[in-house]
Amino acid sequence: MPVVKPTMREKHRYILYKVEAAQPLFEEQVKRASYAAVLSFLGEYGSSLASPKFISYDAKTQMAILRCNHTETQKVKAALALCAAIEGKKVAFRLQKVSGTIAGLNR
Amino acid sequence: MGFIDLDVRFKANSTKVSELGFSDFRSPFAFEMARPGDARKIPPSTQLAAASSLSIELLREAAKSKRVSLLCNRGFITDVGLIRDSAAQKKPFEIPIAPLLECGGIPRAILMSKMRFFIKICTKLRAPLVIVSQAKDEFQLKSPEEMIAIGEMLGLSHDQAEWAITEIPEMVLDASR
Repeated sequence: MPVVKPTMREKHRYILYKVEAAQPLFEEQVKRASYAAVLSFLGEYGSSLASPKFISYDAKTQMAILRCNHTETQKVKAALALCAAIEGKKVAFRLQKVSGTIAGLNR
Repeated sequence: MGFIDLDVRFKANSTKVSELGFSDFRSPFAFEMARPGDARKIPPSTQLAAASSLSIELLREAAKSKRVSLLCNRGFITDVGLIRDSAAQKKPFEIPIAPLLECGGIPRAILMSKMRFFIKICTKLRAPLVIVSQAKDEFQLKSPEEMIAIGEMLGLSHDQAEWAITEIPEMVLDASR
């Protein structure tokens, strides 16, 4: 028996983005930078509404996935777009796709 | 309708820009208005000129000049006279993304607040706006989707932000031909 009805659950969006950097980056660096970008742009209150969750990073393709609340997608997209450096090195997060499911990102 | 970035400030690779989703991009003749009459120094052959200044009087002069196509109010000082001139002459103001990338924390918050108030008054007085990257390197280039998301954060609606990178740049390019 589910605790909440399916219609009452929080709706998420998965954001697929490419990490462009001069040097290859580790998953941990991308994860920390993504959270820092959202926190610095939206603040603690805004971040709590966006509830970002780093899902994965593929170092080969340099593609990362971040999950957020569906109402705050545009804010999270702007926050990621405004991330300009990781540990002093220039980077750019290039948004590729937004979907309601991880499977949808691969379609 | 294609997306156009009207102000790229380095020799950008056109394939890279089209990969991001833009149909066209321009590197205008960007100059700083230092004293009255500077707009007359723009070579007549220049197709697209962007006048930038911190002074309201100089920007008003630039708005009335036929050689200037874009206005860059660097301090985002909100002056109703200037904004009315821009609306009357159909000279759009640039909303650059690069300054937001170059700072962080409180300075970025202050800049965004100034931009948001400026955009609010421009929208109210129907002055045209263009969202531009003003990118100085490849990392500062942003895709249309990212520009729209940032535009929405600055108080524009989704449609207004889309217009600021499609219809209005098209109008500027048509006028400068």
